[in-house]
Amino acid sequence: MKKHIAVLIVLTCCYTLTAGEITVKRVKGTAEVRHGVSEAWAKLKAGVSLGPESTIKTGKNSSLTILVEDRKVIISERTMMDLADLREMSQEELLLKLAEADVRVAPSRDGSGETPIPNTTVVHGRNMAVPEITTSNQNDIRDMEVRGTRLLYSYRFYPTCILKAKQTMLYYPELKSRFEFRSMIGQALEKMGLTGEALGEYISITKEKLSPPQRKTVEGNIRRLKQG
Amino acid sequence: MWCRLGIAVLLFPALAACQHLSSARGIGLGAFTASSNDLSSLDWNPAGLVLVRDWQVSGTNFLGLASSDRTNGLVFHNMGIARQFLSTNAVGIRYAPGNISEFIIPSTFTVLDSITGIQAKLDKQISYAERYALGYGLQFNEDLSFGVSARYREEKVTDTQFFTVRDTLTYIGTRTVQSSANSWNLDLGILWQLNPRWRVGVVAENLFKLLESEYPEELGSFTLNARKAIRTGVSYMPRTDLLLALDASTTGDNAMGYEWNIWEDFKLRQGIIFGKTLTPYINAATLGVGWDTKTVHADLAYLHFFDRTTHSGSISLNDFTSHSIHDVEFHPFTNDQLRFSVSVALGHTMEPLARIDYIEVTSDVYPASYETFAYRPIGRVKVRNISDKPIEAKVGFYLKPFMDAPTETKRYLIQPGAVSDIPFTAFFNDLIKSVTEPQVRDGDVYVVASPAEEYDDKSRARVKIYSRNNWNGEALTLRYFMTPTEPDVLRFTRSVLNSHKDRLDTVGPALLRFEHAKILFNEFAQRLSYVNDPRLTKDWVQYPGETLSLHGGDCDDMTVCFASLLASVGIPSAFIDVVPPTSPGDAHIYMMFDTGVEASRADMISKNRKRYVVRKNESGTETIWLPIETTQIAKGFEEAWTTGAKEYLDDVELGLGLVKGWVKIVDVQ
Repeated sequence: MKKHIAVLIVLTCCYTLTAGEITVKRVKGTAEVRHGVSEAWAKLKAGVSLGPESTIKTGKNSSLTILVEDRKVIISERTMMDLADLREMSQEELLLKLAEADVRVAPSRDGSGETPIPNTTVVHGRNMAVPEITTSNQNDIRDMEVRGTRLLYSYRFYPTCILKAKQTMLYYPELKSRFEFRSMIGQALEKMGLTGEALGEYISITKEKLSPPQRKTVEGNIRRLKQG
Repeated sequence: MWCRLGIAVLLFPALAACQHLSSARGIGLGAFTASSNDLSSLDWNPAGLVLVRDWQVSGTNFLGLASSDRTNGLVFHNMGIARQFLSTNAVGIRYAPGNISEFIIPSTFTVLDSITGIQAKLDKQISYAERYALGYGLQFNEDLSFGVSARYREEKVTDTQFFTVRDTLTYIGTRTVQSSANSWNLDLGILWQLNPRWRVGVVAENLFKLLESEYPEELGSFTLNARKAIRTGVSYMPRTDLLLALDASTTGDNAMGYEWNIWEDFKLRQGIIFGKTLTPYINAATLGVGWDTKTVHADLAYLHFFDRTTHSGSISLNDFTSHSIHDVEFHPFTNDQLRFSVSVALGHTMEPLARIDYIEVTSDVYPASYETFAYRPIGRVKVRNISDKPIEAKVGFYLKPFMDAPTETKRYLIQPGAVSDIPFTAFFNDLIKSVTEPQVRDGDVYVVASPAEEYDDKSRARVKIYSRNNWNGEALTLRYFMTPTEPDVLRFTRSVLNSHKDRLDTVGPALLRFEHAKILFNEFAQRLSYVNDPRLTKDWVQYPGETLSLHGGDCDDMTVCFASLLASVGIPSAFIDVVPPTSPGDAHIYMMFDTGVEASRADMISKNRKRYVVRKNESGTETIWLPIETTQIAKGFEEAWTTGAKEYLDDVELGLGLVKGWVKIVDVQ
């Protein structure tokens, strides 16, 4: 019996569901889509089919209902997410993806210590006439992406949730000190059975400035994982 | 009288030169054609010279045991030197003042010289000598060798003649007339090692004769009758301590003998010389002993003739006229004698500890990426420990003229009888980049096993060298085509950026790299166009200078050229090598470059995260890299960026090519 369970687990882990065709079921309020590497946003209507390369976002007091492989996903207001993240990944693929960051490390170069300080802002892309429905404030975009990441967690897309959360922290380093955000990563790692990685994440959180209850929670998690 | 002597020479049976007396080991064994391995190969079989290891100096003395004084006493026979070079070649040269035979044919009457008042004997003195010899041996392969030797023969007849002077009185006077005939005589030899036990030697004796001078016609009959002959020898080792040898000549005389290693370095030899042309049939017997160390070889041999009529030392006119002489030393009048030879091996005196079993060149050489062979093996050698102790072996490789010095591996411990597979590298010089057409070269591979100071075994390996523009298809090596410091590249980037100086002055330092890349690409796009390889092969890559001067290239050429342009202004880049698992034939390369913009400021570049790649450098800073599809050159920077970003999204983010291994990122800094 144990053998059969082990085979089942292996098969489950190896199975990868790539995000297939996604259909917009319902649009409440305002929702927009950006296809692939395009810079332009377009308004989203019900019944439209989208590919995994698309990014969607919702406006204030808006929501979006989509069908992903017959699975209904409701995207709440002021949320931004890549549809490619609505997919299953095996534990192995997740680990490889996490390791990809190391693969992508570029060799050191001369003058790397120089800190570039921008004194101008440029915007690239076409169809700039399409108005943005949300504020261009960077913090708003950050919060939309954070909500998108939480949505992945709530719909149990744990691997992509972890990857997206780590990527988002690259763009917004201040997220590293957000207890809830970091805890979500740790919990997603636990859900994936990556105890060691989860433990590492919790230990990393303890280095941030935490309130006493937060620290107590994290240390409790660490203790639990060490004992388990 | 001369006529009678000449007729006698032609009619009487001959003793052909089945024996040579230049080495005591050869004499002791009797049959040495297939076993010669020292300087005496000049006589026995010149192919045997290839068995000389490094340097060999040898000398021979003999003690004539004749009752007459002709060759009696201790005589210095020869001294010579042989040298192996280039592992498969050997030369030998010898000076042999003792290699001479002299005959005095006594006159039957005397003349009183009226002028000097001396009673003159009209004896005829005949001498044959071969003082100088040289030879060359070439080893075709491990089993077959070839050799040629040349001996300078000097023949001399000294005759005392009388003459009469008619004046008021008639006088009788005497005078000495000396005639000489000199020539070079060439032998060709082959040595064939059938297997570790059997060896065959074949020698064509006196195959060519180059005349330097000849006797007058009336003395022609005194010319040494060195006949052309084929001598074949076989040696067989039924045991490691026993050697059996047999020689046979087309002249009908033969020899056989054995060599027995009776105790450690001491050897006993015995042989007989026999044949239907000889009288008696078993004409002579030999007995010898040898003492061999790694450095010194000393041999003593005794030669005894059973026919005492001519070999006893005395000689008469009848004796001389009734026997033909075919060899300077070995003829019917040769005395019993005791020979002593010593040879010393100089230079390499070690017994080999290791042997090369097999060489495999695992990689052809692409000059563009020649530097990679300094750390990536170019081939492998299977080295066998042929000693009875553990050894430490290292392998060397040398390919002239493309390497300045041989490369050497680390030492590998090999147990007795075991084989070790040792990879070797090559450190090429810049000359290899001048190769314009593919070619095949032989490189030397040698193995050194401690404690040997020189190589234990040496062999050759064939290496294919491609043209400087050939590429092996690996993204890792494509970067070696980059030449960011090439004058054409520097000239291009400087002139282009200078022409956009006003625009660049308005750009802040954070976006300067981005602007530089954009300007360079667009200028690059205006001047160049996409064209296929001239040879319709993806393995042909142009150097950036060539792409700029030819105003075009394919995707590899464009990628290499643009990456070089960026590198020349200090912008790091990387190749993205894509080999789709479902269609490897659609393999493709594009690139990305580092804008230097930190990830936290990525919005300066684009608000769409899918348009760039975040990479961390060694200092831990995450910066924004832009994928560029250089084949979209005609459409400008924005489109090339968009296409590159889309490809990266499909290949890496959606297809997971990087984690699955079918996408590689190769930094070209």
